[in-house]
Amino acid sequence: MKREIVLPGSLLITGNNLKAGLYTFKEDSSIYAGLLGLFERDSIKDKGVVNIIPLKGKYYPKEGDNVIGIIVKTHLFSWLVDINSFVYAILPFANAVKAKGKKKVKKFELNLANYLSIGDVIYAKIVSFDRNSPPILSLKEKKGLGKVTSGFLLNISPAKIPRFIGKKLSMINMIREKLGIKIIVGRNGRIIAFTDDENKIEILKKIIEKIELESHTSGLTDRIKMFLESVKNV
Amino acid sequence: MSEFKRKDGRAYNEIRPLKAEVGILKNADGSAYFEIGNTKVLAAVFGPREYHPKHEASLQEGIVRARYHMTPFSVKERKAPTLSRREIEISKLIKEVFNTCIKRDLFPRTAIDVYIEVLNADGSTRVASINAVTLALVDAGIFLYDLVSAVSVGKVNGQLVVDLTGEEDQISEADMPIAMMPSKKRFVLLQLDGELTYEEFNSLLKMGMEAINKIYEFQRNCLKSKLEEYLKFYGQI
Amino acid sequence: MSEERFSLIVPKIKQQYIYNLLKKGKRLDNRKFDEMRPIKIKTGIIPNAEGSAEVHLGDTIVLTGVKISVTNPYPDQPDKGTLIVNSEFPPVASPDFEPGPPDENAIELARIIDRGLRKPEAIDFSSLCIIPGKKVYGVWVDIYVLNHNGNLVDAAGISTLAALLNTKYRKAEVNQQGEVVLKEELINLKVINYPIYLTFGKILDYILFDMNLEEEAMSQCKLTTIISGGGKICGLQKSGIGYFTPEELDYIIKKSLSMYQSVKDLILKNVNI
Repeated sequence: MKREIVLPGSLLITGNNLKAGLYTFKEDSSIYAGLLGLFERDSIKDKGVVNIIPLKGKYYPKEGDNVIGIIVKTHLFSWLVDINSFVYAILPFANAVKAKGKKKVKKFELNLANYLSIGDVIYAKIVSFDRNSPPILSLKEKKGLGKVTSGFLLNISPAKIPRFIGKKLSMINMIREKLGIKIIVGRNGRIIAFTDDENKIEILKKIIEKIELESHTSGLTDRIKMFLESVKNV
Repeated sequence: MSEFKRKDGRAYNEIRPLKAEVGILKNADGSAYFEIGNTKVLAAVFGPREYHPKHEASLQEGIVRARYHMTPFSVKERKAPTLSRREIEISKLIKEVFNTCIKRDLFPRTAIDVYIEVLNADGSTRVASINAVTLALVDAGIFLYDLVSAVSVGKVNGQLVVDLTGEEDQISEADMPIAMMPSKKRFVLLQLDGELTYEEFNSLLKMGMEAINKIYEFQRNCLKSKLEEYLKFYGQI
Repeated sequence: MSEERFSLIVPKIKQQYIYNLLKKGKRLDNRKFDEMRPIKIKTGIIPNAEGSAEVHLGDTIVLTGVKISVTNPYPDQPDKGTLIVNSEFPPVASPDFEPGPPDENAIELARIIDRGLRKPEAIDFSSLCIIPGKKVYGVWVDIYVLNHNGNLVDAAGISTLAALLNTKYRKAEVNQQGEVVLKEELINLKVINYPIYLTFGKILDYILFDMNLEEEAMSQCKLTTIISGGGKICGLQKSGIGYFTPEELDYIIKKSLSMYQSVKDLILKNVNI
């Protein structure tokens, strides 16, 4: 598919029934790019939303996303969490700790640092976010969420996460399988690999580097597969 | 007019050589180095990020803050490192330029912090700063309606010229920095220090716009080539 | 620092991983415990400064500019040039740096650098005298951190030394009226003693040289040694909350003395004089 490099202010297309997406804007009847990115002219459908693929930028929180957060501050009844975005998220105490039976935690005895403290890593779900309040996290929504106590933390641009996961998890499952390790992925551009094997981490770092640079090219999954097989033979 | 030569050998409408590098500071969300002749400027962008103090944040949109600063060794006589009145005024103008050019409603209650360090000053530092900040903002993935390109024009020894050096600026009768969003021809910064007739003003504006188009092309190529480098090396588009 | 902006927090799982590596004798960036990050030096990049150098120590970038101007001597040293070292942590360098006057860390840095230059007479201050007791050259060293990724002291030290080696100033003459007149002729600044700044840190019980930002955030404390020509220790600075044992001190001092020559050679090799 042919892709063009576009810059802020680049005219993408003119037409009356077109709508601007998250990274584009409309003026009169033309759509312009707002960021440095790639534009697929062929991808414009009847629906008429014209957008580009951005190459950089911070994570934009979305309700329902699973994210990997780092506790940066303990408040009285909640934690402040860095989710690699333009706002800090909030994890309320009630969303983090399961009430054991009918025994209630007495508020005056509560010391949040006994549960989570600064520097702790959590895998959480965003349960709400809108313009007027910060993202609210929960660890109770489903299995697998909670405090992460081991593993290796890696970073990738949030815009590249869909490529790291692949269509129907194809990429991430292949990497998991070939390396034989458990990996969790946060939509906010953070990845945790559960292994102490430094070689495997080195391979994973190289894969991420490849995805960062080649995410806008086609046939990426195949190339990563070839790469994984080549390192295995060494 | 065409025979007129300036002290450094340039024609009246010729800008000094340009050089730029994008993404050079790893800690910043976006950064750029911009050079026009011997004027060398570094810009870094942080954000959007939480606005502090919180009560000054806007519920509707993100706010750009800017700090233009000259390093003590950037000028002939060492400058005190604290912000001068001149630097505070320029910071305000640059802040307003980018509050105009950035789509800010996606990020309420945040700040986009723009920091500029003039490393070496030889005239036209505020316009060089604007050119650098634009590149840094694109590098940070911040939504801009257009690139912003800027140049200074002025009157030196009765002659209208573009891109004044420090020496020309000192002896100039008039000095006029201009910044634009070039594709829609929108002026976002305009200052004049000195006297001009209406005709002179119009000629200068026209000369400035021509120079701005060259700088705009340079900025576009600089950003595109950074991206193309990747693509060439790692695979087809 | 404002209310809710946080200095680097290293996630606990990453700390755990780094501890495990250290126990195996490794660092996250594959360096040996006493290995320096690669350095890159560019000199003479600021035309308006009499001397300048930009130093990359890994991802740490420090730019130093030297300005020289005619000034009055200090009363207690009427026949010597003056020296002022100033350091700024501008907000371009880190999301944790706020605009404003130098904070305690920037002031500490400038004072450490000053210590290696002043008493050991890194510069031939006597050569900077124009009229004894009245006019001398003043040397201003301005250190700008452009990207902070740990070990600012060593990077600033290298950048200062490189900038001084690169410094040329205008020759002064005294005319018949007794006034100082600056000529076009340029003189190289006489750098006669090369101070080298070496900073070690302590994580658990391990002593690491040239820590990056993450390692610094995890370390208890640091010790900077300043070694001058002739293998003398000409300055020390312990900073951070923590302590060193006598064995650790002895190790660091011996290590510094043994490293002096190789680090100095490395710098000189990278400075084109």
